[in-house]
Parts: sequence; C-alpha cells; structure tokens
Amino acid sequence: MFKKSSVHKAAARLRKVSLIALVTAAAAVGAATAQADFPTKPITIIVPYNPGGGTDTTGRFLANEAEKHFSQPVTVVNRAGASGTVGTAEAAAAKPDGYTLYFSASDALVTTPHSLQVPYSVDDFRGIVGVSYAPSSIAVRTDSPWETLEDLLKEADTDTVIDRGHSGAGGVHHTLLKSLFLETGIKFRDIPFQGGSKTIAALRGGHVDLIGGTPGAMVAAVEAGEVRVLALSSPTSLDAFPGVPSFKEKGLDIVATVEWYLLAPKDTPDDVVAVLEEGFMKAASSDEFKAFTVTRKQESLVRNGEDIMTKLKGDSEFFGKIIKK
Amino acid sequence: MVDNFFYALSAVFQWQNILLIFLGTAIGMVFGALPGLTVTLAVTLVLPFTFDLSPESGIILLTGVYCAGTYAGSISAILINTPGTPSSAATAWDGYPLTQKGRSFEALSIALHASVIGGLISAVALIFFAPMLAKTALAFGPPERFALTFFGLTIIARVSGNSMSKGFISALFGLLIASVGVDPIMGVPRFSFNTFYLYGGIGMIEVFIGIFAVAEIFNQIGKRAEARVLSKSGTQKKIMRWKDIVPHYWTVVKSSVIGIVIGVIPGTGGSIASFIAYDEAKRSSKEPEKFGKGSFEGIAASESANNGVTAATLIPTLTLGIPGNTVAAIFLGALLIHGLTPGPQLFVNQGGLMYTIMISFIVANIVMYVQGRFALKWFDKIIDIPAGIMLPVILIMCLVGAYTISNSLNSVIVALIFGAIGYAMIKFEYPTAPLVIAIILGSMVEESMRQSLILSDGSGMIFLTRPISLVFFMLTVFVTFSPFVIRQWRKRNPKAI
Repeated sequence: MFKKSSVHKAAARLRKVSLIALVTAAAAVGAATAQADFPTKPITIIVPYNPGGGTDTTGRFLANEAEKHFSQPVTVVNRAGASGTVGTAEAAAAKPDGYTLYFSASDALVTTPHSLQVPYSVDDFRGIVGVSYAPSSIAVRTDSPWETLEDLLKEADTDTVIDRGHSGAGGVHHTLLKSLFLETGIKFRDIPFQGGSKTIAALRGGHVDLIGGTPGAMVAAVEAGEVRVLALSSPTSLDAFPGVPSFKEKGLDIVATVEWYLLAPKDTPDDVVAVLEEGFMKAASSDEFKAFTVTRKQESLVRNGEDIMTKLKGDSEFFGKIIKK
Repeated sequence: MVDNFFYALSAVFQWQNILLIFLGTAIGMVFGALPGLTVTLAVTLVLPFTFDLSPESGIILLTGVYCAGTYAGSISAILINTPGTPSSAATAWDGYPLTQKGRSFEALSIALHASVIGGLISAVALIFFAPMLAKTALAFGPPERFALTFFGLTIIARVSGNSMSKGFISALFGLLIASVGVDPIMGVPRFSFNTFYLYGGIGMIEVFIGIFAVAEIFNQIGKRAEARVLSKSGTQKKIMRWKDIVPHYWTVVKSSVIGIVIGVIPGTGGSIASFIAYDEAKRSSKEPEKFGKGSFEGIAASESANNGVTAATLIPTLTLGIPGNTVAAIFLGALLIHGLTPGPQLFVNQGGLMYTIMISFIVANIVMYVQGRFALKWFDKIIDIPAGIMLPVILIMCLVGAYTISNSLNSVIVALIFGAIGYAMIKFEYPTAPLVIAIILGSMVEESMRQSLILSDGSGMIFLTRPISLVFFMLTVFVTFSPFVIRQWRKRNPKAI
C-alpha cells in the first residue's frame, strides 16, 4: 500500500539532516541569485513534533510523494518541544529561500499564539498547500442520558454540572468546548488531560461526563459500543461518521477544525513559492497520499497556498476571540 | 483464541522472523548499552525499516529491539553510572557502587537474569490477562493516579541516605525542576523567563545525562590521580549461573508483578515501577543497609520490575491507545502505520497479530539471555579502558545523545548545567536519587491532584472515598510509619525478634 523504499530513505537521513540544514544555510548565501533553477539543493521540512506521531508521519509521506516532482531530495526534520512552538518559531525565523518549509497541524500556529507569548504568528508564514483536516467533536459514554445533541442542550436550564474533558488548555478541542458552553450557558467543570487518548480513556473509565476531541481517535471506542459522538465541528456532517450531525446543521454557529498544511516563511519569493506549490499540490493530490490521510483519520481536502492561508487566518481570529473570553 | 495462538506460533517461528528477533535484540543491546544512545532512539531508527515488512515481522523486529534495549540500559547504568532509560536509574544506585568495588561482571549478570525473568513473567501476563487488565486500567482516574504517584514520592524518604534533610532539599529541587514549563491545567507558563524553549519543561533525559553521567565524569576528572576509571580487583566470579539468582527469586517475582501492575496503568511507565520495587525490596530485605552501596538484591528488584513493565505497558497502549512510555508510543505509531487501530476491539479483530506480539516477547527474552551471556564479557571490558581515553569518549557520546533528543543545542546546555549541579551534589554529599524521583513523578502528581480537585470542587475527600485511591493512601501511611512503629515495639520488647 505504501511506497516504502523512500520512507526509510528519508528516515535514514534523519541524523544527517542537521548537517544538511547547516550546509543549506551556508550555501543559500551564494545561491540567492539563481531562483530560476530552484531547487538546486535539498529541501528541508520542519515538523514541530516528535517522529512517529500523526503530523510527523503525514509530513513524511507528503515529502516522499513530493520527491517525485522535484529534482532534489525533500527531507523532514523534527524540531519537537513545547507543544510544537519550538519548531514553529524556528520555521518562522528560517531563511525565506524556499529551502526550509514548515509542515504542521493547527494548534501550534493557530491557537497557541493567543494564550502564550511566542515569537511568531500566522502572519509570519505564506501558504504552499493545505493537505487535509479533521473536525473536533463532542462525545459521551453510551450509557449517558444524552442520546443526542438536543438532549445535552436541554441541560442549559438545569443545575446539572457537566465534567468536561479535553486534550489540553488552549488547544482546538478546548476552544470548541469553551465556545459551546459559553453559547449555551450549560454549567461545567473543566478537566484538561495530556493528549486525546488519555481524554478518551477518562471518558470510558467514567471519570468525566463529556469530552471534546478528534472523532477519528474515537472510532475504536465507538465500534466497541462504549462511546457515542454527539456532534461534529466540521461545517457539515461527514461520511466517515454516519448519523452524527454537525453543530452548524443543528443551528449552532460552531466550526472548529484541525488543518494539516505546508507553509513557507512569509518573505519567500513568489517564483519560488510557485514552483513549490506546483510540486506539493501534485503530491497532496496523489491517490497514494489521499489514501494515507484517510488511514490517519483525516478528511482529505487539498487547498492551494492562498486558500489555506485565508482559512488559517480566519481560524486564528475565531480561536483568538474565544480563547480571550 | 486457540486458533490465534497457533497462528501466532507459526508466524513467530518462521526462520526469517527468528532471524529478525536475533537482529532486533542485537541492535537493542548495542543501543541500550552505549551511553547517550537510548532504546527510544533504537526503536525510532528501526521503525522505518519495518515498513517493508509484513505487520507481523515488523512487530517482531521492534519487540526484539524494545526488550533488549530496555535490559541493556542497565549495562551503562552499572558500568558508567549512566542509566540509558529513566527506568534503569535505580539500577545505577547499586550497580555502579559494585563496579567501583570491581564486581561489575556479577552486577551485569544479576541484571541480565532478573531482566529475563521479569520480561518472561510480563509476557505471560500479557497473554493471559490482557483483556481483563485493560478494564482495570480504565478504573484509574485522576484521584487513583494521584494516590499512586504520591505513594511513589514517599520513597524519597528511604533513598535519602544518611541525611534526611539533604534528601528533602534534593527532592524539593527536583519538584521545582518538574514545575518548569507550561502548567498542565491552565496552560500558563511557569519559570520559563519567556525563553520559549522552557515552555515544554526541562527534558528528563537531558537532566539524567547531566546528573548521572556528566557529573560522574567531572567527578572522575576531579580525582585526576587515578589512572583508570576503576580498578578491578580481579576477584570476581566470571561465570554466573541461574543458582546465583535463587537467593533473590522472591524479590524478582515480586518486583516483576509490581512492574506488571504499574505497567498496566496508563501513562505511568516503567520508572515508577522500578522505584517502588526497589523500595519494597529494601523494606523487606534482610540487609537493607547494603542498598545504595552495592546490593545485588537492589539490582534484581529494579531490573525485573522495569522489564516486567515491557509487555504489560503494551496493554494500555494497545487497548486504550495510551503509551506508558516513549518506546510504547513508537510501537503505537508502528501499529498505526500498518493499518491497525488501537482500541478495545483490537484483541477481537486482530487476535492473531496480538498473540504474535506476545509470543515474540517470550522468544525475544530468551534470545536476549543467550546474547547477553556472550556479550557481557565484552561489555565488561569497557571499564578496562584507561580513563584518559574513556572519559572524553563517554562525555562526547552523552552530549551527542542529549543533542539527538530534540535536535537542538538547548538539550546539550541542559545536560551540561545539570552536570555541574550533579557534581556539586556529589561534592556536598546530597543524594541524587530523591531528585530523580521528584523530577519523574512531580508533573504526574501535580496534574492528577489538580484534576481530582477540580472534579471534587476542591474537596480532598475525593482521595479517600474512592477504593483504589484509599488503598494506596493506606499503603503510603503503612510504609511511612511502620519503621517507627517497629522500632518502638522492639525497644519495648528487646527479646522478641
């Protein structure tokens, strides 16, 4: 199913990558004039998370697909730390020559700058391609009295206090819960966990009543008949989750998604971005890549550089408003 | 179930897969044994090669690396005082003093035997109890996790050495270090001084490399006059047999079970298991005064517990998707890439593959024993290398190891700073064990306590009204106060012992 040889080629290079980055930086000074022949040396993609996770594997798969469309290798380097902020800051400050790019998911770029002091914002980047997205959702145990979203909304006028769990303060899923509970006035206690899986386990174990999180991560628990997803935060309902409405369809104006995308520092020249956009758009549109995003429980949606930037700036504004409340 | 079992047997005992196990354990052993290189790094580097293999073969290879790497962390812990993983920290407490006494080979052998037994017991537990244990794991909510980790913290009192107050200072310093970074509940940065590298907290492995290895190197350089890292007495036995571990068999079995139970609890991992097992062994030992100064029993407890965790920690990883440690996290990544989704149904839908994992754990432990028997003689020679050559090599490897953690110099700086702190602690005789325990457990204690208090609207009764949590608090009270009570009782009844 996968084109595998290039996967481990990329990983074997992992340890050389820092060296390549150095060489890249040094060589960039001399090569600035020759934009027409871009790329003339390896392209490095910074992923701000550890190897092996969802964002990393997606970024690596994209890099492998993209290598078919460039005359130079495309390598992924992991700069993990501080919930993705370390790698994001490094990418924002990278030399804008198109040889250092940034592959990530929404949190570090779209929500974190509103809650933490970080040396970057969404305006420090320009888009190359958006590859996929995943909605957030709210879910309960199957033995919960709330069969549907409507049942839950009825709690607005009662004294019921709902223990709500999520994967971390200031993230996309927390923001979704915040906006839902603000809008409806339902009473709550807010319990953050470290990551989505622990949140789901806390729900299954009966330690919280309701959680916000990626529905893709809940599929296994749903199939086991333990967890019920009440509503999705995508604009519409999705084929992958039959019978689950979106908030918007139920009259609540709540849309919150996690996007996966490839960006470049904002001063990267237009002609370079054009070359990158063409190659990476082809890679992201390939059947192999789309099939891969589905295995990672992402919804495939390829957007060009301009569209993904518009989306991210809109998201940033939306999340900023709720986080500051 | 029987079908799946035989399917798995036939899968593991294909010659290619047996070869992969040998290869995997060899890789794991080398990475685990070299200072600065870790089992996590080994598994990360091997992972891409499994993409070319079938899911079964891929998992078998990773299992070999994982088992042997976890064990081999004890080799560097014993020989050069650098635990390859946090979970072999307790091994260094007794292993390194033994090396200094010239009894490194015996220490290595005990560690090997204890590891193999722990690993085997753990694999058997995985086979027979996985679905049942997964249910138990879910019962661990925030209050239960707080009670467990708080129990873990009380061990500090018993590893503090001669001065209780110095032990507490060391532990409090560790808790302070653990509180650096974005706090787990409100998302507010603490002690980060707006250098956002510190938002993620101070990396645990970097600290360990500093506190243990770098500090020890500084210490050796400080002694200068000695020509070698260590002088070997040459009196040690060169052959260790199973019967040498027999006096410790009860410790090993008990510690393995502790490892399994704690490994099953999602998100706690192996290090706390080896601390608790070590503490329990010390508490029940006939020679508790030897602990920390070179006790074979201490090594046996620590190593059988952390290998007891290896297979057991896959239970929450596979059934809940919550890896107990970084290696299990990469394991999880490998499963996802091979199209398997962790969840309660995994044992039902993918029974064959699940049993393959379990059986390959057993085979990997046996292969590890065979390889260990041959390899130990060679590893033991490391300490014959003159210090003038060995110390700079270890230092460089440690710093390279620190660099690979985050691919950044920040980690190297952290390792060096903690090297200096560790050296000062050696000089002023502050015990480092409480510091290490506090750093590992600090953030877990804080997070679970704050989660619990949110759930209870601020009432501490939540810790006493839930049965599992109550049991751990009673245990805490028991192990903390029983020594005083027993001492008093002996004073009054001097004849009754």
